[in-house]
Amino acid sequence: MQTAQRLVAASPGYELPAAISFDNVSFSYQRGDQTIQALERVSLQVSPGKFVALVGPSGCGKSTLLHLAAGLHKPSSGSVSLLGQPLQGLANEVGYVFQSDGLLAWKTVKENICLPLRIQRRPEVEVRELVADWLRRTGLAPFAQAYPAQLSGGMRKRVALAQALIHHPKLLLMDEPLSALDVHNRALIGSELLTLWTKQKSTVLFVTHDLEEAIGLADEIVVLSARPAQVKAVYPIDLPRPRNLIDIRLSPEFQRLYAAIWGELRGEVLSSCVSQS
Amino acid sequence: MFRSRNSGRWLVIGMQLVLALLLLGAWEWSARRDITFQFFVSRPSKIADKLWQWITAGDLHIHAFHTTLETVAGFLLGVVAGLILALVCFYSPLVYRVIQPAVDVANAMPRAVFGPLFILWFGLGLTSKAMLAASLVLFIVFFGTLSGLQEVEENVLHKVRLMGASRLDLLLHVQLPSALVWVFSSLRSSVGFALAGAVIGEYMGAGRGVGFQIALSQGNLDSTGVFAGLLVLSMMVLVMNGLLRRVERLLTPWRVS
Repeated sequence: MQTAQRLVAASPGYELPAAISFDNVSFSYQRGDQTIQALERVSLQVSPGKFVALVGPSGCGKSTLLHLAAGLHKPSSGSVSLLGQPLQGLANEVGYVFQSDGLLAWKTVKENICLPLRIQRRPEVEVRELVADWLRRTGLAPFAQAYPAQLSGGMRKRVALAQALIHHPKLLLMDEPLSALDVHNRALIGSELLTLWTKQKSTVLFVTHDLEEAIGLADEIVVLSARPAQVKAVYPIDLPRPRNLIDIRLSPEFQRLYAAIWGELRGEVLSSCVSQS
Repeated sequence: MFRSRNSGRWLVIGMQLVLALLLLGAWEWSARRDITFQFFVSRPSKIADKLWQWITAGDLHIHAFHTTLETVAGFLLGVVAGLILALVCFYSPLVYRVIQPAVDVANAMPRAVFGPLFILWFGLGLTSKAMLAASLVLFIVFFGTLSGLQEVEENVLHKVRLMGASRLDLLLHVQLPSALVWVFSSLRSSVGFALAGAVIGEYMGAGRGVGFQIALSQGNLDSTGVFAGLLVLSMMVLVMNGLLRRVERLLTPWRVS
């Protein structure tokens, strides 16, 4: 299963470039007078429109991988390409969602959601139309004029999702976006994420430490090793869609996948615990 | 247990009134019985008389108006200067490192000592008071704004940059509002400082203002006048706080009470 390179062949002799491709990417940074090797020769290809979950022990460099994909960091060696184009500077058309909701407290729900459109100076008519649509799709319409502090955690996460998706980014980077939510909200918002994503078909890189969540959501799971992170294995998840995140974990297929991937992940989690203590 | 919040509120107001009447009564009684020296502590009825004299003489509102004007001018000046200075230091850490000792020293210095200098430089009018008030407000705003600018969650900056934001977009949508949140939420204490600056300035040299009236009374060894002046100031503070609470609610609608 090593590095499943599942490129879509459009016609013989022509392959659609990967939405995102890491080629032998290494990354190290300085902490004090120590050099920390976060990633070592990571190679990974993600086909357009795929939902890919990255799992691995805490602190292994999963978030770093997202930052590299966005162009927020430059690899120490190797290269990152988006749709076949080597990434230079900041990637554009990227949506980014992370653990805290990261909303702007002084903007209403509506203003928060339309922020990307405002920044991209889209025409007013288009902004109004899109915002109305997204408020409806996320069930936030009654709260359009509310401020983030007046909303529950689940609501705020919906706003963050709408904000990340409204400008229709080709690439969606998600860094443990659901892990601050309680169990029920996690399943609920996860399902909503899937519904929104199915309509949009952005490529998703989803970092999580929760294997159940990863299996429920993703088309493909990439297991990363303890630091310095390397791609340990790639598992395609061929559970049928649409998926019901609440019941899916009872299916034998889910259990089989869980056991297999956990077997791979377990050793890494343990070895990272040993190296941290 | 209070039946409602409202009945609790009236109870508090009632108790406050009773407490005030008790204190004023004790003050008046002890002064009339010569237990305390009227020369030093005056007494409430004389203070009320004095206040009435000022009101009927028709210049109390002029004094109060000027003190207010100096306070507002000083506050605005301090906010603008503090914001600009913070922005400069934010975008150029080198500048900040260079001027940091000066900023710290100036901030630690009791501002009253600048009063005589400001009066020398800017005259006895409004400017010197506004400058003194501004010198107090500036540092509050500077430190608040700087940390507001610096302490935006890094992921939020990443996110907005990835939406395609320029540095200016980032400043306008994220960093500046984050800093202003702090300025708005410290509005009452900043205005309090501005008022203190204005009154100290008037006290040191002025032709009008509540601080000037207090200084004048003190010059005449008139404790009644000093107390009357303090009373006027207290009223002004109460009114200003009431107004500022409304302004705060208008400027920071996202804060849930």
